Amino acid sequence: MTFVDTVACLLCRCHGEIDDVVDFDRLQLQLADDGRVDSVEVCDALCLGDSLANLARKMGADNGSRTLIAGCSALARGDELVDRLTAHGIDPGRVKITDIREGCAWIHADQPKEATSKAADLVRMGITALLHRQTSPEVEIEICPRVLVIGSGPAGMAAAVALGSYGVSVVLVESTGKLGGMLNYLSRVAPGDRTTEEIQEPLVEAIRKVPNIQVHLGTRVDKIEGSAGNFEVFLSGKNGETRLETGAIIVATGAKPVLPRGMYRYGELAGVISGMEMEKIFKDGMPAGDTVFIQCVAVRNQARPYCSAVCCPASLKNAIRLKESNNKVDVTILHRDVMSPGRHLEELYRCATAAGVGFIRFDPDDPPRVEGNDKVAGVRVADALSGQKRLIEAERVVLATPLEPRENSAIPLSADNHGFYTVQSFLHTVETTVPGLFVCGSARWPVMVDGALTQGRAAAAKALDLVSRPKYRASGLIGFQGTRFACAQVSQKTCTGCGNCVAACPFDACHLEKTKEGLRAVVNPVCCMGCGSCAAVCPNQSAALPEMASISMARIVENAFAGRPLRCRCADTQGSAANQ
Amino acid sequence: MNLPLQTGEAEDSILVVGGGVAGISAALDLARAGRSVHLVERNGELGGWTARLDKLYPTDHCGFCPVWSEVRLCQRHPRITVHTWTTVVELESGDGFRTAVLHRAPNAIDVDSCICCGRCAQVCQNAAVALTDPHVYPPAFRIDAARCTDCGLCIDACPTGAIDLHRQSEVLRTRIQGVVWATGFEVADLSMAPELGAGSHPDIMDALAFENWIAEAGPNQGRVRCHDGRPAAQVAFIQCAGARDRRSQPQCSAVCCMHALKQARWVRRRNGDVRCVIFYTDIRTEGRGYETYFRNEVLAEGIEMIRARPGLVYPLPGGDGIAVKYENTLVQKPAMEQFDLVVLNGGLRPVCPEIIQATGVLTGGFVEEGIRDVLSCGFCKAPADVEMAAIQGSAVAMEMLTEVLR
Repeated sequence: MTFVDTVACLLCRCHGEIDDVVDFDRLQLQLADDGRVDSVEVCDALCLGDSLANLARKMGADNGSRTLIAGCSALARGDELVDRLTAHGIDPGRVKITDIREGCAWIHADQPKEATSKAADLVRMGITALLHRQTSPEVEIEICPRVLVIGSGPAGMAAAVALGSYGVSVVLVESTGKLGGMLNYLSRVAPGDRTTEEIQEPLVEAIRKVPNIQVHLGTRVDKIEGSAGNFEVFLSGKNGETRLETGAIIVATGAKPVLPRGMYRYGELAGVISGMEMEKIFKDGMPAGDTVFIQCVAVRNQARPYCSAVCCPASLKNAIRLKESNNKVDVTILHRDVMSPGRHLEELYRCATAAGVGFIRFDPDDPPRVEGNDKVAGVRVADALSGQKRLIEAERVVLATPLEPRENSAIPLSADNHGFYTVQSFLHTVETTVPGLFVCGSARWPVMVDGALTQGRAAAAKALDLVSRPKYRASGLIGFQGTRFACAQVSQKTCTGCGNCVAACPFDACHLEKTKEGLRAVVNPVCCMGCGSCAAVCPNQSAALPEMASISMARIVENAFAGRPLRCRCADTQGSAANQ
Repeated sequence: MNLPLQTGEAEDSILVVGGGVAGISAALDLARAGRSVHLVERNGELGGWTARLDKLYPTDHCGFCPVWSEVRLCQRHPRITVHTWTTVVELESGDGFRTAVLHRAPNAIDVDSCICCGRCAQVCQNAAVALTDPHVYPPAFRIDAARCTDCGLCIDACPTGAIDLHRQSEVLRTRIQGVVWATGFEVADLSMAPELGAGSHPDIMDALAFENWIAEAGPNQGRVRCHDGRPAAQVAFIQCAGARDRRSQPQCSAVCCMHALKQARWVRRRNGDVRCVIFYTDIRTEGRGYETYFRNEVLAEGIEMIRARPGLVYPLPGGDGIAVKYENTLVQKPAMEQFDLVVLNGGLRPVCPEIIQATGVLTGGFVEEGIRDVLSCGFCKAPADVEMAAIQGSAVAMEMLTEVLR
């Protein structure tokens, strides 16, 4: 039998680390018998000296040649070797690393015979894998060099200003008539007792000044189509409907404050107001009168089992301002846990205590009761720390209500159990499950102004990475930062258009297209994450990951047992010939 | 559009000090935007504390793998130069740039010619050769100069001649355009709070030591044991130990509530009969998904929550465990209980190398951004957990690109 395709084999001794256990002579004998191998070489350590440069020179001289390197694991030096060969101009697709050090010589150091036969199997499988290797084609996608920022609160403005001043063309869309989002409704910004203007004005000024930031006020996003690099967004506003092309989208739509309807006699009794109403009173002038703040209203319960993070600091801030404007006013905060984590918020908590703000902890199972006939007279509360029931006289009760997610059907993002947008984990928490869509600010999770500014800039950094390159090389797993990975392919010849893959794809990468022959599935390489769900559900193997094609897998498995009869455990226990 | 990176790379680099998640995140985003980065880490491996955590909250994912995949991206990025065992000793001002003077501690083993075979560690009589970290791959060995007797056995054993016991430390000078401080935190000294008993008994430990103590890949393979080897039946977690305390760290460390909840949950998950008690002041679960983690994953494990700040923790005579004296403030009752292990949680303080004082502004030990080209992110700026530190790293990269380098 003759083989058209052959490979060169390079066995690395790793200075005895491998060949002290694995019998290289036996390995070489096997390779000499293998018609697919045209040359075998042994080296001391491929990673040291000029061995690698020599290999690169040899491979460079013969463009069709392929090399199997049997040595250490890809995680040890293997990947580095491929990187170095690539740097020499060798296509990484022509090289394969087979691990016979960690996986053979080291782990089976006390069983040299078995280690050798395992190494022989792995090398044989490696040769097969190299000969049948298929790679996902690299698709070059033109990237639209523009970023759309939805929402002009602190997060959205920070993102727009960062990208704009870097030179990226930015479109900032705001549904209301004014930039600023939540900043327009707050009296002061905690921690640090800053005015909202202090934060808002420099941002608005920068947005006005930077020529490449376009602002659309009173404009809504109706629909988002397309994928990373080339989104098509439909907007509607005062000037009618417009269509916008953009490379990336930053979602900074914020969250909305909950109205405490029906809670603590809100709406029924004069003087019971929500936290946001308190902010408005502060904006209009300094309020007076004894005040009680009740924390965790309509949150950290069954219906909203989360902590909204912003309400404790907001109450602390307002309590301090009341106390500082008039020390004679009694201000009490009824709380469960005081959520003031970190450095500046804890300082805010300490300031409140120092200013004379009273703190009473209550048990959620025995919540405070607001007393009064036509207006607030006081709040009855069971102090969890003293066990006493107390009546605190007050003319105002401020209900610290949480932020809750906004619903926006135009944004194609999934939500977590609380309704906030789902993000990726760990170091990628402004990145969503949709490549090219980033989320920051309270749309992601309730956050203070400073955190929103930080997240806006972080989202800008991630969007910049996408739109700053003129072309994006997509080969699957676009979100995984530069790692080459498989991208699903659908054979247009055999596809029957059943749509199984469309239903199975968790990333919306598969869709059906009409052709002359009928419906055919098509994969968008930008969205494909190489998970293989489509290949698993395809009834006739039309959908496949080239790197994991069934045919090459079958060949590799076949080769794993080549030369040896397949035997099962029962045959072994009956004492039939082992090690044949 | 004419973006700066398309007009060519800036010749001067950015210096990122600290290789934890904040530093890694800043370095990667700067490098992706076309800037060359010097990433300096004083320890042997990138990844910081996060890489040493057994589990992360609220996902219960291992700490090491997700960090390590980012570390690999840093190591393989053509524009990032990683300097381990290195500290910044000076930042000299120049005209429009600075010169950073980096000091790299001597490593007797040349990393480039090491094939990770470990023969040096096998022959060493004095256990002076050890892995820099048990998890990293490829493994890296280091010779501890303090334990090395200069016998030379390792030199003979090394097949590639990578060892030179008299290698000197190196001083590197490099032009930089800006500095990002991401030096993180360290475990604070609790000697000013003697009532907590820190250091009086090995079974009273800080939360990070406990993380390793119960780690699946740690010395006890996930079991909970006392230092004399017997299994622990009762574990106390004392929150705000050394934090929210004017004697040491006045700030809330922001990470310890969730850290303790996670640890207690994993103790119970792996050892269902161990009693876990968390002594807390406030349980701060304000982050993304934290409250549900607390309610659904932690309380469901049967962990006792006692609102108290224990006033006295001391080892009982005769190895009878650790006594914890406290007042349960929700029922106003003083009590004393005996525990096998006591975990002191919260005493973390920012790391601020002396050099920062010359370039930035310090408040309460934290690195404030005082000068235009000096930025900071992560715990050294203000207490931050993994998620916040990573976001801050990216944000600081963007600030550097737009505000400093323009």
